[in-house]
Amino acid sequence: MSQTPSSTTFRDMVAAISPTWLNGWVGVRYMYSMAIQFDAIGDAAAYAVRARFPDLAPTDAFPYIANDRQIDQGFQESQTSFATRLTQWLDRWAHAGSPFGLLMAVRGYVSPDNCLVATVNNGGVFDFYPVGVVASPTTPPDHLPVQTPNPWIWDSLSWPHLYSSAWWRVWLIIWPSASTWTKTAHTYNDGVSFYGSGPSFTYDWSGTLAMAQNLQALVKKWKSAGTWIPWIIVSFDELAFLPSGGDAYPAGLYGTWTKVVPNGLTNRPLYAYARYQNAAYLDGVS
Amino acid sequence: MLTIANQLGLTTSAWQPLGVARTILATMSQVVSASSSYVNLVAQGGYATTAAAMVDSNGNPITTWMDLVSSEVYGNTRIAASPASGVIVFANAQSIPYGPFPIGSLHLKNPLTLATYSNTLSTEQIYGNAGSTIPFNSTVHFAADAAYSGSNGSAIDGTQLVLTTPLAGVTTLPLGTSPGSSSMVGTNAETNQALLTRDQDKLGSISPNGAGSALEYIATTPSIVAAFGAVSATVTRAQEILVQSTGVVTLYIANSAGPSTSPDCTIVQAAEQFWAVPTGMTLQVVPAVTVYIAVRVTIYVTGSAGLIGGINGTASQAVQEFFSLVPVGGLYGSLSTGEVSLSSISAAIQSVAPLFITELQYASPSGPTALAVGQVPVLDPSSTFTVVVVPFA
Repeated sequence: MSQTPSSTTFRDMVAAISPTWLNGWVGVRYMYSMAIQFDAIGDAAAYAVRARFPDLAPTDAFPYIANDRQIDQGFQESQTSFATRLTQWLDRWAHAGSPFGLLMAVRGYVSPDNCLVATVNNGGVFDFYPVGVVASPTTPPDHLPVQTPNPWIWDSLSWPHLYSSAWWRVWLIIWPSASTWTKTAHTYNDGVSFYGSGPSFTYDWSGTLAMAQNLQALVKKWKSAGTWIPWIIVSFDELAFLPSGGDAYPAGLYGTWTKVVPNGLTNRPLYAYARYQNAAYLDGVS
Repeated sequence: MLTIANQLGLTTSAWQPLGVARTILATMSQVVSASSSYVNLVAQGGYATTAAAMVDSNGNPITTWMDLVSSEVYGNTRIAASPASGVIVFANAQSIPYGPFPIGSLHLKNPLTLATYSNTLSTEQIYGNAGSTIPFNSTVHFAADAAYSGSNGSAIDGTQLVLTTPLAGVTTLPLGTSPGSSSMVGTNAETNQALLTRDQDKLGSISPNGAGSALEYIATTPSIVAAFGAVSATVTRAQEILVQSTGVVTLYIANSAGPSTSPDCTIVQAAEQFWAVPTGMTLQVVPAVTVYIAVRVTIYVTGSAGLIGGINGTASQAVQEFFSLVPVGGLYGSLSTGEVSLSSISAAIQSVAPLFITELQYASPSGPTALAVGQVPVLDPSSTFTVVVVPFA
């Protein structure tokens, strides 16, 4: 009974199956020159198949996998972290439209910064990932029940007075570490902070216009269609906007950028910042 | 291979170009080269993103890999082409009736796109009006001929198709001006890019929480919508946006010719309510909003006068087909809103005869046409495509 020669490469196989007259000094080299090409093709085919799997793919394949799976790489995220998130695509998409899905996506965008991120709705209900907790499909964000009185009244005392009606509003708040984003001293129209010709929403923070736009796109992708995110708040104060209290509660006055404060000297109104200043307020999406 | 053989110590420089040794290596090199190209396709075929972008050596889309990836990874199948069809109203000013016409014996032509149509029922007639000078209106069912089986056979409301089968005293009435008559919409087979978008949108439908992409996926997937009624034309485009002041989610839908009809919206609404609308969300499915774009262009071509007729019709078809693919809300370019750029219109026209078209001069539009949320472009019936032949120097 004949036995098929076993080999692991075409080079070995060629030597094994060639007749004696082709296995001489010249024949071996001649056949080797051809067989090694097929080994290369075989290797290439194996890599071509592996390239579709995030854990085995070369990193230059990630943009294609990311577009297929609609998972976006963070601007400072490691390839290892991104590969892990790519493999979780279906489990992550199962939560699209919820605070869970949205906060996971935002955490991915600022990865490896496991900073505090939260959503708070018009009724003052917070969902959040605390500092250090890794966001994943098996680790949902913490959920705070309804608080009485509502700590998050955005505009009951200021225009456009939507608090009592627009229950479909949700705010996204990010408390980045200093290595991610910082507060900048730039203010509107100071000639420095206005990036390009786009919307003027990039002053007050060290992020770029592209980052703001990417965040907007990310939020649009992962929010519920029925949710309006009026503002994406980037807070540079770890004590601000906290559900437990502290600085920067809207108190109904955040609808506009300014508020009128008492002026003890004259009858003229005195305007002051309505919103907490140690934060950036990026345009949201609907 | 020759290099490797040389590195292994073989005296390859002594081998004659047509000798046995070199000929075998040359043949095998070509086999390896072809295999390498195939491996390249294997790699690309692993991603929907690259499979969607595959073209052959002539620039035509390769659909095989995209079909496989869509089916095996996303569970989506490509939507097949469907011809434009509908009812044409004929006015007969004479007392003589015509017909009945055997199927395919009565022919019409779209004067703008030059698409042709034939009747599809053998029992219909164009009646006369005996004893009266008032034209009598009759209806006949038509479908685009095979050469115009997709969106290039579409004819929008207001288009007056012309008879190419001579019938004395008979004219057609413009589409949409009589009861039962409306625009005729043909749909191309789903493009790779559209299929990719639908694949990506399907991810949103995994969640029960009302992701916007889920709404768009449901609307543009005929196999889902069909369970809730027969739409007059396949929905090929959709865009969702939340109305900030009311909290109502508005889903604009369109077919390949333009906005979907209100009855089609009702059917899609039912599908959305069944599959994609969570508790607390209010969804309103509405037709996209038409933005007519009048393309008045002079096309300069080198060659013979025989090119004029062919380029004239196909240029308008090419623009119409391009418009059929523009997403609701437009594409993003130089404007802060969505748009239809002039360069993209030019590219569509150029694609008709890239070797012969040397210049395009536009009387209209003068630049990009802005599209707001919910808007889709439609080729204005007043568009003109004038071909001027420039003889070879």
